Amino acid sequence: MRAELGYITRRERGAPARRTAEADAPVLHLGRGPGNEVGLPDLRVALIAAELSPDAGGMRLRATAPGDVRVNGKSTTNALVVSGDEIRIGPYKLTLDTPGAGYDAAIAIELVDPPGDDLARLRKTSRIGLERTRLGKRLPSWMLFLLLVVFGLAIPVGSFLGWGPQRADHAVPKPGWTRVADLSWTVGEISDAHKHFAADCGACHQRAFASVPDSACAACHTGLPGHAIGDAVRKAGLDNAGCGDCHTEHRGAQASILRDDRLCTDCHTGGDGRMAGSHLRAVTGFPDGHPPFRVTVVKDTTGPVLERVDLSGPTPPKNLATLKFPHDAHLKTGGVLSPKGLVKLDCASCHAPDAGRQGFMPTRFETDCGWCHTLKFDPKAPERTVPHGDPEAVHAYLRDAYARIALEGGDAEIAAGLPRLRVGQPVTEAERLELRAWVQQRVDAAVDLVFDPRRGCASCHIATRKGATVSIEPVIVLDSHLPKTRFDHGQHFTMGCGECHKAEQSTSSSDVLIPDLGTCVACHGAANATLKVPSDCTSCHGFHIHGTAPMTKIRQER
Amino acid sequence: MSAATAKPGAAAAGKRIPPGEIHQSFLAYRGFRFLKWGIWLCLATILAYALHRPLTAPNGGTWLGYTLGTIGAALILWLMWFGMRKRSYGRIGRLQGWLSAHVYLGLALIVVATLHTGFEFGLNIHTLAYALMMAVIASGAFGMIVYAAVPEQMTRNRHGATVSDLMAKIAALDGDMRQAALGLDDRQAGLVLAAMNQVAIGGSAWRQLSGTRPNCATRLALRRITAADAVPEQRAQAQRVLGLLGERLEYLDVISRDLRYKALMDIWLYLHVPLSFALLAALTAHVVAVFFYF
Repeated sequence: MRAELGYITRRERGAPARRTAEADAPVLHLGRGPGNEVGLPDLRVALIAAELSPDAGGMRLRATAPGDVRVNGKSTTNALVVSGDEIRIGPYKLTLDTPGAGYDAAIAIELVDPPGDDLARLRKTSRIGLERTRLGKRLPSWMLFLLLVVFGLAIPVGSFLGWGPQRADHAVPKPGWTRVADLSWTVGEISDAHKHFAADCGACHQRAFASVPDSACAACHTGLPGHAIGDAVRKAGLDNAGCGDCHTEHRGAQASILRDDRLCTDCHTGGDGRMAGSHLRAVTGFPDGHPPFRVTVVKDTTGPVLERVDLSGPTPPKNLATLKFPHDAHLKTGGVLSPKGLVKLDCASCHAPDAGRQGFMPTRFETDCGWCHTLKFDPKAPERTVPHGDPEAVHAYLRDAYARIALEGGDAEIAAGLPRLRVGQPVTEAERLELRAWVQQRVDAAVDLVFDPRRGCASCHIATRKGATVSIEPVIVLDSHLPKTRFDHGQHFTMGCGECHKAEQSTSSSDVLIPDLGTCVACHGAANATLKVPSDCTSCHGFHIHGTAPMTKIRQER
Repeated sequence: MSAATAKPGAAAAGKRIPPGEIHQSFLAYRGFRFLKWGIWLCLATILAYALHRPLTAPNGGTWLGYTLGTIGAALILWLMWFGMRKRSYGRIGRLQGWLSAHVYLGLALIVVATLHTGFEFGLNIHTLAYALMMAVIASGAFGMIVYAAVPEQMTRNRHGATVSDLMAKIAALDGDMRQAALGLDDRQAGLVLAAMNQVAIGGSAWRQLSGTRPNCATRLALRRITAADAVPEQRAQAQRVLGLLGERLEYLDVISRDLRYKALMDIWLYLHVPLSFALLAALTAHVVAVFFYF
């Protein structure tokens, strides 16, 4: 078959150019390969894309490779084509014209979809630079900014101002989402004691842009004592002191008290005159700068009059004691002789810890002394003892005891020499007088024994006998010789009593068995000590002293 | 020494540039003036912190805490002002100087703000502001390192050519390849066509940052087309196509590396800027919160 080929090229301007060629073969091959009768030189066309062969009524077009072959716009792989049909193979358009004389076919060939400018295409399809990706700066900036303004600022402020759901009762926490926003403002952990109302910021923070008022603290801490008495409050500048000067919050579970020594020493060094006229001594620190201990002792039992004495003065302090109690005699290593035999005593025999184990129960005759110091009054009646504490009661008891014996008899040894009373016969006046005389004689003998200045009451007490009566000096035992400090015995239980209290060497109850500062310093160091127990002023001393005007009152008095 | 070598900001300012400052890195601006300022600020802060003995553990609420907080907040606002400043050339001072100060005083902020906190951190807006500030500084430090190290590698990679030059070369190669590949069989021609049609340059942020081109059709074509497979009369053509593909791949690699460098020089700013604004909000909340619940 012989075909007339016309290759049409269009320029931007001017008429299309036409280059003609001829093909002659039984079957015409169409494709980009050089061996094809009809060359379609574009990479997008298959090497041999299709073939044309004569057929009844026209030509047979058969696609020979996978690819886009269309006849009059319809995709096909095998079609009968006639003059006037339009064949598309890839980017080429082939139009079948009426063949001239001597030709079986006339095909006009045009590249209608040229590959175009490679550089322009490359530029168009490239995506260069992060600014052309989905990344952005403006939108994320706004989103993050607004998010934090809403959650970090608007909600907590709104929550304070009472926007949104609120509950009147402070004890009931607000709804979760406002709490989360509220908590985002917290600057640190709230102290354990205040955690139970920590969800309610407004319990303490009552006004915006204002510090927590003392009244917020005083709402719970009512009547908290102050620190000084009378004019000393103003002199020390404490009338301007608020809770927040020494107390803090949001600084951890245990940290609601500022324990820096400077909070105390700023006044107690005395240099600035704030302690002028005070009996207080200057303290600049601990252990250096702490004065020797001063103990409180009884100076006069009438009153009584107490006195503060230097523990480390030239002579040891003496406590005017009205009870004779030599510790050494009771703590003999060999033990002491008692009604129960030889008994070895120790501190705990008399000093029992109190319920909180911070201090000790008072020693009492009935529980601590009486089992050994029995108050017998008649060797012939060793089971009978006089009551302790009241000389009048002792008299009454003795009279009653002997009168009963006289009346009832029975105690043969004591009652020997008494007139025998006859059963069924009334007591005669003579017998009654005889019995009374006997009772009086026995009572007098017992009183002599009990009120003897060397035995009986006077072995422990200062007793003055006037005839048949005796007066006992009142016993004054101080709760503490160091009332200005706190000492927790329970915290020191690992130590032996004797490490601080030299009781075994004490021969008199007027000895003050309080250890000096050096004993404490052996273990306790300054607040920043690393190799001793760090101790600040508040380890031993409290600020709020009972008996002083309440803090809130001080503030109001200004 | 031509004006073209000077920084555009300086040129626009119309000032005479002293010799020796041309080509000078912003890091070394005026003999490391702002590095010295930053070091002095850090030393003063550390000294004050070491000598400070507050009644509580060190924190933002002591007098030193408030002082450092004020300095820190002022620095943050000033550092953020740089974003405005760099858009308006030719005003107060040279941009290079501003950048130098921005970098060194921004780094000094680490010390100022950390000592402001007194090392007290928690799950709250205050620590969030600190964390955001550190993230902003870290992204900025990354940017600084990239700015200092990458441009040289970039120049070395491109051998003085621009990406546009390289793309023109690829386009020229593509034109040659269209002709050279005509004689290849359909499978091989398809591979060549695919290589040319693939959008191989740039792409997603990750693609640009990693510099990778997964399923690169050019590489695939280079691997699949072998001259030995071709019929004898096509061998020479296949060989030529392979040569062209190889060259194409090389240019693509150079462009990918270049885009990667450029992306590295840009990406940190996509964190630096939004985080800065987040910091501005958190800082505002922090300051308001502190004084609101005084």
